[in-house]
Formats: sequence, C-alpha cells, structure tokens
Amino acid sequence: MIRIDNLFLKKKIPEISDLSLQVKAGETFVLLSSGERVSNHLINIFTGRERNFSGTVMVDKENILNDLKELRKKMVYIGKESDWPPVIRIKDIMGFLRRITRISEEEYEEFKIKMNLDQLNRYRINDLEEVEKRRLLFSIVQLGKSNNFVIHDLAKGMPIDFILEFKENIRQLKRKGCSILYISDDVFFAPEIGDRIGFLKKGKLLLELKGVKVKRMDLKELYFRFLAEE
Amino acid sequence: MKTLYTVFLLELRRVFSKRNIVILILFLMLCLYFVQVGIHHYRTIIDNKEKFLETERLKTDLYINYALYAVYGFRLQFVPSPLSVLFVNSTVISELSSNVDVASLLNIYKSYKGRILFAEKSGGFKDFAGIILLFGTMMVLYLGFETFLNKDYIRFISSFIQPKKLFYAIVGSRLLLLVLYFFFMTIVSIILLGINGIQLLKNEFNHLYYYLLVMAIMLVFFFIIGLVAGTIKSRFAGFIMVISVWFIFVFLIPGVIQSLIATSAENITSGYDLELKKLQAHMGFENRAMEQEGVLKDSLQNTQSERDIMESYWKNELKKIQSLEKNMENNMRKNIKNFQRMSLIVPSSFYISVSNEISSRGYKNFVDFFSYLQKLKEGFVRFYIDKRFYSNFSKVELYIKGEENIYYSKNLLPDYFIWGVCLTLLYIMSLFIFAYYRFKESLVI
Repeated sequence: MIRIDNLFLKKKIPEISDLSLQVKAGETFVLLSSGERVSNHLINIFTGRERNFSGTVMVDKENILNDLKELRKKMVYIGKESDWPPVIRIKDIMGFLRRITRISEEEYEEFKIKMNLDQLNRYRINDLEEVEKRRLLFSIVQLGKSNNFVIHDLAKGMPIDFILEFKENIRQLKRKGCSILYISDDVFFAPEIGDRIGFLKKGKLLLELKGVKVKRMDLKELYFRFLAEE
Repeated sequence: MKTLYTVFLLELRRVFSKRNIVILILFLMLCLYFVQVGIHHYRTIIDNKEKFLETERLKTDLYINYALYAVYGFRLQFVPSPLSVLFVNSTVISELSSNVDVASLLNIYKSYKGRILFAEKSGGFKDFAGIILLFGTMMVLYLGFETFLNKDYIRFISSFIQPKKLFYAIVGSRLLLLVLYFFFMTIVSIILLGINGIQLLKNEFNHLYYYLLVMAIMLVFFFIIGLVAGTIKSRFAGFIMVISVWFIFVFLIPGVIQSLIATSAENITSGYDLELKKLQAHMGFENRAMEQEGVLKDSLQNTQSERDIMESYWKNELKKIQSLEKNMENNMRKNIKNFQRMSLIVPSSFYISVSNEISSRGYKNFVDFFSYLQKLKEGFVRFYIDKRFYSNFSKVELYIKGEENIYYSKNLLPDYFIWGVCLTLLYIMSLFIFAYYRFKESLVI
C-alpha cells in the first residue's frame, strides 16, 4: 500500500501542496499532472533523492524518510531513463537487477527463456530499441519481491503491442495484490489502466475520479481543464 | 557487501571497456618503456663507475710527490640508488662529478662531453614517475569524470540502491580497480628491474612504499576532482573543468613554486663570490707564509716553522673556508626546506618533491653530497699536512683507499613528509564529502 498524507514541497513556487492519496493493495492509481516538474518531484521523493518535504509518504506502513533500505525492498520505481553508458551489456544489467531484487535462480532461468535472454545478452543495452529496453526492464523488476510499484509514464509513446502487454502486466500485478502508482500526463491512457485517477494542478490534487467514470467522460475536456499548459 | 559486489561487477564492465583496456595497456607499455630507459641509464652509470675508479687509480699512481697530489687532488663521482631508475628524467640531478684538492677550490660539475651532451636533460616527464604525473593524473581524472556522467543510468541504479550506499559502492569499486591497476604496474616494473639484474635493498623497498603511498593519494585526489566534474550538469563544462584542473595542478602550480624558489635562491651567495672569498683567505695565508718563511721548498726536510705555518693554516684559513662553505650549505638547506614547505600546497607538487628525494637525485641529495665533499676535503688536507710535513715519504700514498671517491646517494624523504600526506588526505576527505553532495544533487531530476 502506498499512502501520501499532506505532502508539501516548498520550493520557490509550491509545486506540490497538501497532496494526499492512497493506493490500496491490488489497485492502480494514475496521477496526472501537466509537464514533468511535478512528476519529477514525486519520483525524487519516492526514490529517496528529495527529502526536504513536509507530510508523510508511507509504503507498506514504512515511512519513506526512516529507512531507505527497507523501502527498496518494498517498492520498485521504474521510469523511462535513456542515457546509459555505452559499454553496459544486457547481461550486466540483468545480472545486477537479478541480484539486487533477489530473484531466485529458477525464476531467472524461466525469465531468460521467456525473454530470449541468451540471444540478447551479448548486446549492449544501448543497442536495443527503446521499446525492447522498457519491456525487458519492466519484466525483470516484476519478478522481485516488491508489492508496490511507482511507474513513470512507461507506456508513453510506445507501440500498441507494448501497450497491450503492459496493460496485461498491470492486471497481473494487481491480481497478485500489488499497489501501483502510475505517474503520467497522458489523460487518454490513464483510464486504460487506472482504477482511480487523480488530477494535479498547481501542486494540488483538484479532482479524483474512478477509472470507469473517466472512460465515459470527455477526455479532451479533462485534458484542457487540468493538463494543458497555461 | 552484496551491494558492493553487485555494483563492482557493473563498474568492472564500465572501467574495463575495450577502449579503456587499450588505453590502460598503452599506458602500461609506456611506463615499462621508461622503466627500461631508466635501467639502461643506471647501468651506464654503474659501468662508468668502474671505468672512473680505474682511471683515478692510474692517475694517482703518476703523482711523484704530495705537492702534485695536493694540487690536482682526486675526483669524486655521484652514484644514485637503483630506485632512481623510476625517476631518471624528472628529478633535479642527472649526473655529477667533483674534484677535491687542498686548495681553495671545490668543483662540482656535470660534464657535457661526448654522449652526455645528447642525454635527456633533467626536470622532464620522460620516466616512470613523470609519466604517472603527466598521463596517470589525466587518466584518473577522466576515470572520475565518467563515473557519474550518464545521469539516467545512475538514477536508474539509485532507484534500487540508496544514494549513499551507491556512491560508496561506485567510488569504492573504481578506487579498488585503480589501486589494483597501479599496483600491478609497479609489480611488473619491479619484475623488469629483477630481469635486468637490478636488485632493490630493504631500504629502497621502504622508500618505494613511501613513493607508492604518495602516488596513490595523488591519484585518488585527481580521481575525486574528476568525480566532482562529472556531477556538473553540462558535460562540456565538466570536460573543461577536467582539462583546466589538470593543467593547473600538473604544470601551473609546480611551475610557480619552482619559479618562487628560484627567486628566493637569489639570496644565496653566488659560486663566484664564494670562490673569491676563499681565494682571498688563501692568498692571506700565502702572504703570511712568505713573510715568515719565504717560498716553501719541496724538500724532504720538514722544519718546525713550516709545520707551524701549516698548522696555522689548518686552524685558521681552512676553518674560515669551511665556514664559508657551511654557510652556503645552510642557505641551500634553508631554500630546500622552503621548497618542500611550498610543495605541500597541492598533491601534485608534493608528489614532485617526494619523487625528487626518494629518487636519490633530489635537492637534499645534492647538499648531502656537498657536505660529504667537505668532510673528504678536510680529511685530505689533514692527510696532506701529515704526509708532507710529518713523515719522510719515498712514494706517494693514496688518500682514497677503497671506493670513498664514489658517493652512493641515499633515498631520502623530504621534510614535512607526514604533513604532506596528512594535508593530501584532508583534501581528499573534503573533496569526497563535496563530491557526495554534488552526486546527491545530480540525482535529483
């Protein structure tokens, strides 16, 4: 479970102000905000890079400010990073993720066959298409023991086969009882995966709707009301 | 430990990429080449030493009386320690000889005859220690610079490992690889010495360890500066910082220190001035002797008055000459101390100062050589007086019995060595903390 209570991030302009939300087990919450700034702040907080805030951020009842090590076990963040060292091979990064997320040998062997890793291992991560890279990284982190996922716009700009696969993965994670916080600015994709959708504007959570309800609404209007840059 | 191992494997891949392996091998080859050059240079000195001893033996056999021996005296050669093969070009002294006689002059000179004219001049970078300073620092600066260059990658990794742990793990892994590489390079160099028949003694090994310590902390210092440069948002600005730091620390600051020392050395009495004063003391003695005894005859009859004159020379003029030389020696020592104190300011100049003295070809080695000459000269004057005025000689006996005319220079440490190490460690600690904060800031999107 992911829970945010009265989160304030006071920079020059308050970019997050009194944000409260809760992502229950087996649920996906899509948090929509315009631009990258607010989402970046949230990612910085969840990854422990930004600690200068007020309010509480809890992951499975663990305060994010208390023990980052415990937090790493309980939560996984996956984003759309693209600047990788040219020499890092797929084998290296997969090995790193396997060790760090404590994936068992059996699970990893299964994963290798499923993703055809023996073929891919000799390539460098930069040789992969962006879609392949995201597929691979998202697939392996799902094997870890974490029950909470913070995902930053992983499906944005990806081809339809990836989006379908991604949606299926999200469904599976939910079935396993995982909490998923999906941070994005894509109002059109949000109802596809979100059980609940929150709209952030000027640092405040202005509206929270159920995913099924949003599907029936005029998404363009929602976009212009909450997400279009002023 | 598991995190460190996991990150270490990734860093191993990054550090030993194909391109880096080529660079590291080329660097190793270059260092070994210059070690071999140093070995060749040292062997030439040792070969020359044998020829020098033989020449001196033959030359002194030709003296028919002590007066001739006193006038021409004997020569002395400076022989550096075997460890100097690592510092053959970057130190102060390359080759030195000296002539000792009973007169006022004391010559220390470097010959430029024959092939020596074309030999590498000292004060360059063309040896193991110089290459480490020139290219080793550049290499570790770059190694530090590229550590955090790929920001997205570091952010990705940091979402699985807490920033503090990640920083220690990455920096620790790279430092370990760095130390292992340079350690390997030194081992190979020592093996090369062994293959060439040059054995280091215990004392030389001890000084080699001191050198390795100073080399390691200097390289760590440059590595951490590279780390800081790598955390700058603009890659271009970071690159410019790396180049500027390298130029300032390797060329500019040591150059300025050298120039300041050269200026402060202006206060030391010039060689000509000293010779003039010594000559005046000598002339004073000769005039006194002439007034008392007339011209000293080179006969076997030693009169008491001649002995008294010579004893008065021993007590007065010689002591005066010695005090003039001692004064110069003290001034040189003062200036060296000044140089060594100023060299503490940055790790690169400290490294140069330490290399100089450890090589056995540094400033302190020169002054020790100078001091040794003074003692030999005093002994030679006493020997001359005793033999010429107190004994009935038939054949000239040589003052130099064994290899006293070979000065085996010792490996030394500069003054304030501990201070230099502590100051460099302090720089490293401060930079390390600064690099950590820069790293944390650079993680924030």
